[in-house]
Amino acid sequence: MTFPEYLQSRRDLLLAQTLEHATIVLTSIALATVIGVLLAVATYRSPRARGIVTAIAAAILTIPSFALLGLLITPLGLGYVPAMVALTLYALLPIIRNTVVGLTEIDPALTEAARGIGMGRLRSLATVEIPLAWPVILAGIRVSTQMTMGIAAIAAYVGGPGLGNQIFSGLANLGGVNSLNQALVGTVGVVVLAVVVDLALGLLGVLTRTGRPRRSAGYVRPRPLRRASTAATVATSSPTPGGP
Amino acid sequence: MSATTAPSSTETVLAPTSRWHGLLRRHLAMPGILAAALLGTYLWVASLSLDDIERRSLNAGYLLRTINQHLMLTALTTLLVVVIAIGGGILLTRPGMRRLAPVATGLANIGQATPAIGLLVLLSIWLGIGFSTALIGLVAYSVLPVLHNTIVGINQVDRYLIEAGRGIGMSPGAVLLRIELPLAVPVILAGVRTALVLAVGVATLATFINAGGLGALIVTGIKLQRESVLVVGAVLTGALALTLDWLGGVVADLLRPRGLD
Amino acid sequence: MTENVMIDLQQVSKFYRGQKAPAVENVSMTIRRGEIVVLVGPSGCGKTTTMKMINRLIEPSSGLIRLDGSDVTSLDGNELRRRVGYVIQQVGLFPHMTVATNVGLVPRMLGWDRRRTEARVDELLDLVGLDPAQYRNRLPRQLSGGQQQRVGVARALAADPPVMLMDEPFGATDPLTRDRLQNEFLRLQEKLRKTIVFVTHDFDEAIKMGTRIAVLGERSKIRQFDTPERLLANPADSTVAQFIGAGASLKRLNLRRMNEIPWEDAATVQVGHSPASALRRLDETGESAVLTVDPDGRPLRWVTPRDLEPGQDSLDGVGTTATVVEPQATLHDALDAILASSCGATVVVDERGRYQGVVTIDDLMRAISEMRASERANDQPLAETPARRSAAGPTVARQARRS
Repeated sequence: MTFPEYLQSRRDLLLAQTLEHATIVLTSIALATVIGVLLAVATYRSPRARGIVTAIAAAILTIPSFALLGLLITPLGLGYVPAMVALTLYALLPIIRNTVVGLTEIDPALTEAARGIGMGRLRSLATVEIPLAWPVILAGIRVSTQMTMGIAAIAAYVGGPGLGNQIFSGLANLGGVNSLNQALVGTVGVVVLAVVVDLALGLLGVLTRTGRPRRSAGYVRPRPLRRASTAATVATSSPTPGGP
Repeated sequence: MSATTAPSSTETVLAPTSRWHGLLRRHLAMPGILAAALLGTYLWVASLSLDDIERRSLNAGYLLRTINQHLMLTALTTLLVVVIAIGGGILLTRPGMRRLAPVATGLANIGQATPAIGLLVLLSIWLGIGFSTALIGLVAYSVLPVLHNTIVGINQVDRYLIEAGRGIGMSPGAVLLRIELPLAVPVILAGVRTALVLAVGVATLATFINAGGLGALIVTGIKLQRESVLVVGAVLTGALALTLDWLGGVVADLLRPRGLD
Repeated sequence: MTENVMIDLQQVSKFYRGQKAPAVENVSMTIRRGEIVVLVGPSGCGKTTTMKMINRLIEPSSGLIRLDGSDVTSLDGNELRRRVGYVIQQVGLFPHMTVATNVGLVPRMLGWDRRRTEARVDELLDLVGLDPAQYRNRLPRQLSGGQQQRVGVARALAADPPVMLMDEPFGATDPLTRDRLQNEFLRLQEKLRKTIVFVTHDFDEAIKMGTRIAVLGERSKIRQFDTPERLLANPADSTVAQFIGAGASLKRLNLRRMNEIPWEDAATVQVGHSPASALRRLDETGESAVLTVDPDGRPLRWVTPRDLEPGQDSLDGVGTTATVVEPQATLHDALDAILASSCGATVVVDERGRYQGVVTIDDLMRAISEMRASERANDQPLAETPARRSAAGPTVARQARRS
């Protein structure tokens, strides 16, 4: 069976698995964004606290995904839940780090102005600081999304959903008729999905960009890739977050 | 350097002792945590009464063999990656080749989303299963961050420094060896550290294509539903990754050129 | 005449691929030994490109560049650059090397042994006013901007090159530091007599530094190449005049330096002495104010009898702060200092800040009218030697200059 024939014959299954893959990744990213931004907001003013939080997130990211999944199925069992927990944990670091950077890089004059017109801490955060830091936060979200796309494939081994199931079927059939088709559609499918989602997030960045001047040129440097890092580099998936 | 003869007014000169102090302070926590985790796991397993299947996996000989396989895969991968990626990164930052650098950066971005397991399975279909296939997969998977960081690291060196070097008569080779590479070391090492962690992680998947490693314990644990084997495999893999990353951090601190903040 | 020529550009052009117009077009220029030629022009006019072709950081597309008689394209580029000092605005000190390593790079590349290099490094640091014992082992980031640029100059001088190329060397420093660096550099040049090509976009700096100034237009086309005096007096065309800008008469104050006009002696008193002795000094000298100096001879404040209240027992902090200028400062600088000090005078100090003399607003006016008179008298081509700086007036002898 040629590759196009395979795609044709398994269309419904493949679409379903792609959708599942996107769903579990985006759900995990949404969770990680909420948790990560909250952690960053709670700790960014204390170098010590944010150091500890970043170090823990970095350590989690250092643990091989297969090992973390293995550890999680002991308490959580097989299936959707351990996969999602693992993906959420992995996605934390880039989001926390970028939120901290985004918040600390805000011109103090702006937060002072917010205080000056009578805003409380929470209101200032919600209406001034987080919106200002958003392009950098979004850049972190994009990096996390790319990373978890690939990791989600492994989750199929512990009963997780998504395109990883195609890869493991290919592995199980090694030498069989559809082995190559399955491995190929699983691998390429994940990459294509990652590119599409990244474009969508980029578009989201453009749509959520407001007209204010940003100091992005100063703090978003070319990104040295650091999957597990304590270095203070900002993770960006493109030279400037949220579009040019 | 003769830091001992430095006058007291140069308080910012890093004396060797303060360097060691900083190193200890920054890097002391992780070994402690890892030792505690390993000891806890050991005590827990020792308190269990193991069945035959568990004993087949959880004995010193088998554990050492899998750890050894895992380390071999990781070490060879890192070695090959360093040679290929740093060499390639240097080439891709020379005039003339520079136009190709965005291709490498683009590949690095896509590579991040590529499922490692998919890459290993595809390579096995093409080359057959086994150690060398796993090695090729690991290298292919970990080479991109180092390549990318070498390019970024060299390109972030202030172009005025390069111009100053050329201006005082340094040859292009001397500029590379004495200015560009030393100043790129922190960024390159960050990439190597990433590659190391990626290699340890992907090496856990090597067991799926019969190339051994600590992943075997996790697979056994899941397949045969032996929690003890699963936990030991996962803890050992995690500890190994954190240890290597920790070592990478220490080395990066030691090799950091003076004069950079 | 030809052995007096150090750098000779003949019909030099630079084309870049993909650009229709040349960046530099047919520039011809002769630079003599020991003179400072300033290339000045708007940014993007090709002045830096022209300069970089001399040490072949940029290869000329056509034309001939001779350095001390030999065609630069016949030399190895790296060897050439080791023998031509090079200073840039960004300084370009290597951040991972100590000051000593930075300065010693060129001598080491030329094969000097360690001891000779070390001795040379110390000599150079001393020359640019940095104590070797204190600064030798520092890293660039432990230096101020002005100190970094001094080290940059020391590095360029390391192999004692006869020629220096300087690309806006003081452009990144604050005005105060820039002034100091300019003065120090001119003092250095009196000793070293290098042939210097100096690029700047600041016309005032050009007037201050240049033996001759080349005003460049688009594609490095030379609009006028002449001494600062003649440039200010007779701009060749409206573009040059526009570039000189308003206030040409004020700018001419930059043509003369403090060491070319007479100074007066002031009544001085050590700050540790009593107010009574200050009053005695005023009586003795008949001056209206006395200058307090610290134990090292550095001027502090001007004190008038009115500042001294009865019963006061110390001169410390009494009076108005004195402003100072160095002998290399221009009359323009001096006028500025006099206006800043509310006393109608400024104090001349040596490089260590010690009192040397005083110049009042009247002295300044006298010097200006003499300048006018002499310019009217020799409204003809000035002497063609780089004589302006060495032909200092008779008052130079008064200075206690460090050998």
